[in-house]
Amino acid sequence: MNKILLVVAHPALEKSRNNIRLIKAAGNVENVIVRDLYELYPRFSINMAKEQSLLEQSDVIILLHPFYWYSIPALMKQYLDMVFTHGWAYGKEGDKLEGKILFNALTTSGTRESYAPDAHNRFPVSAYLIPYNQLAYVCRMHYLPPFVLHESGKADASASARHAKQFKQLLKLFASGQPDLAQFKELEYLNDYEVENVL
Amino acid sequence: MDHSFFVQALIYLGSAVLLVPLSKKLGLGSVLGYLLAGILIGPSVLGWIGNDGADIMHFAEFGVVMMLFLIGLEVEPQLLWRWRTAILGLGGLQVLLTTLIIGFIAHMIVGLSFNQSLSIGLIFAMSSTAIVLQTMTENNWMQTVAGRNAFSVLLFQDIAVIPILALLPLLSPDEAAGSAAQNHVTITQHLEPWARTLVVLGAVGAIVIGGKYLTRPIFQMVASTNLRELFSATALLLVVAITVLMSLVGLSPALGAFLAGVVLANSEYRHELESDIEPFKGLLLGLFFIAVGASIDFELIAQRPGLIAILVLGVMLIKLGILAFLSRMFRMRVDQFLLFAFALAQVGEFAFVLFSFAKDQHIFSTELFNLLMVVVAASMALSPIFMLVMEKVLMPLVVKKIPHRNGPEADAFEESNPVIIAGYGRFGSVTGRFLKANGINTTVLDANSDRVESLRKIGIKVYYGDALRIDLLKAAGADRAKLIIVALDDSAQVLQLVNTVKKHFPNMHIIARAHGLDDTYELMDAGVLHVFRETIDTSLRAGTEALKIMGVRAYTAQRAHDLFLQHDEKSLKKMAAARHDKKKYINAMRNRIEELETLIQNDIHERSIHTHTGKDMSEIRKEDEETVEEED
Repeated sequence: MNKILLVVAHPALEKSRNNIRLIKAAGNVENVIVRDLYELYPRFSINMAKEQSLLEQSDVIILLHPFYWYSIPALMKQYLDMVFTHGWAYGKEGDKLEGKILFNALTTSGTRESYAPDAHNRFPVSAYLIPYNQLAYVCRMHYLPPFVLHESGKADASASARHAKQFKQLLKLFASGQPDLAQFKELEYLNDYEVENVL
Repeated sequence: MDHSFFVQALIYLGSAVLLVPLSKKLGLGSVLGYLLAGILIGPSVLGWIGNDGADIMHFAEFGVVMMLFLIGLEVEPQLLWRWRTAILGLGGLQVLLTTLIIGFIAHMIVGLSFNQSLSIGLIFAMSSTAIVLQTMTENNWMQTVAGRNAFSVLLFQDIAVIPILALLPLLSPDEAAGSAAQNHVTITQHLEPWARTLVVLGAVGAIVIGGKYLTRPIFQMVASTNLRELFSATALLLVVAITVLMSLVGLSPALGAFLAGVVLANSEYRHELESDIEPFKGLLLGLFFIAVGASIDFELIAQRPGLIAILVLGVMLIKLGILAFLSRMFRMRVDQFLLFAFALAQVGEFAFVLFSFAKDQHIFSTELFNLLMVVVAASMALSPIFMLVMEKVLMPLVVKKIPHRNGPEADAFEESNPVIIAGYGRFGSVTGRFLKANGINTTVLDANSDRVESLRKIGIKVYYGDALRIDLLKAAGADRAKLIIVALDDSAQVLQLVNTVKKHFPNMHIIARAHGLDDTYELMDAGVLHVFRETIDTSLRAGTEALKIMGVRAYTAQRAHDLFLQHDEKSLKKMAAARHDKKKYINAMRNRIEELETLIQNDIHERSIHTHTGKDMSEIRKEDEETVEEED
């Protein structure tokens, strides 16, 4: 059994049905711990020791966030800065995250097609996620492709629910045992993995 | 009533009031002003005071005792221990080398007898505690390395006076040596040496133990009467008692007072003692300098100007050379070395006592004695001028700026914390603890002696005293502190203290505690930039918590909290301006509430309209919940 840590950052989560739904779905899976950063640290004073110990106990770490300006919200950046420290996460003595799995789960209003060289967003989502990819590399973690909800604003209730369901199945897969990382790494999005076939 | 006393007082005080401000204004310092006043009213110029100058000098030496007591108050015992190298090494070498070289010159070149030369060497080695410390304090030099080292040397000299007094009778040509001078009556003089040592040690022990255990209950009792003058009287009594005790056992009263000061340096009554003794010390020291000025025998100088000039300058230059050599040896920086060497180059007031004593022992003839006394007085009078030359001419050559305040390498000579907290009740205590936890040292004043007592018991360094008093603020270091936190319980007193600080210590930042709206306005009117209403933050935090319990997310609640506070502080200014007009004020008050509501609602609403569908969040959420339930 793998333990999953879902790190959530949304400054107005009460207004994001997609994210609320994803968290709810994740909460129903065994062995998932949710860290709702904006609720826990409204004044940005992150409890470093506590967060580090939670990270140490987990096998899979998911960063769930809206894709604000092609990036993570401020508090999640603060979280990475304060918690993923030298000598703990990386560096000579820093091996506490070694071998763990990391990926982003994000919601964006842009379409999947818009993240292309000749389209509005010009780069694929993965290009914007290079910092986290590299963070995982430096911390000797396995970085997986993102789990993305496009057109988050237009997603109606059923689309949103479908997305959440898929997320839940994915989490169950991760929780259940040894997912095939090589296979995951070849995908563009984790969404593309046919979970239902496996389960 | 004896009118002559008042006439005398009139002359002394009048000359001081006339000349000291003038001298300060010209940048010559107060010491020179007093000396000039003394010369002016002395027998040589106006002749308003006769030869009683010497008597007055004896009396005024009590000012030196008080000064040493005050300095002792600012030297904690550990500090003294850390300075042991400077005191013994620097001080010891200074006395030794000066004695040897001046003694050698007196014997070999001038041709005085060995005993005379040794006496002169020893006595000329002394510097003037009064002049050096007064000048150093006035210029804020006490906290520099030079100041600390100069003080160490002076301290050693103070100690050295005791063996010198014991030695002089042995140098007497009289067979009946040891026929002690009349003015030196001690209870120990007929005792065997070992018994004398025992008595001396007993007296020192009495000061240490008495100071440590006896003074506190007495001060506490006196403080609880709330009679200020009684506290001053007690403080004076303490110093006088030490002087009497020390004189009885044949020790230097200044040394005893210094010791008592050190013992009391950790006491909660320290700042109160300081501010009570300070004016007496100042007056007596001034009187002392006047007396020195008056005692300069200009007739003698006029008779043999060349000889005296050579002697005075010779002695001072030799002392200067030795001090310069020592300061290089002890690796002082060049600016510190100048300060140190020039400060200590004069011959000090101990010389008056010691020469008189030596003359009584028939070591010197009256003629030689008079000459030596003129040299001493003239060197003291020249000392401020020496310092001036050093400061204005030499110092600019070596450094751009004279070392003011604590140089980085200096031990804090006196407690001078960057923050003063006035009032250590429920407000000040939290602020104080917070600063302490962050490594910022504070000087805490509280006028409630019971509270001081109990806080002291749990190890918090609080000083007893009424922060509204300027002298006490000064003693607490208001001249050097960066910030004062006015956290008194009474809002009228807060305002009063704020005004005092604004007037007398304009460089200090002020953080003031306000209780309600009215005194908040008044503090704002007084120009305080940092006014803190004691309940606003707590009430808002309670409100924020209430929002959370009502289901608002923490970050949203925090934003509402911040928004409310910002707006409230902004509108406070408007209301302060409008408050004298009742109608305007009520309007402003109403606007404040309305504006605030709109503001917060907008913040919530803006972020709650779903940007893409234009739907209100509450609708979407309802929709969502229904779907999710279906799914599960």
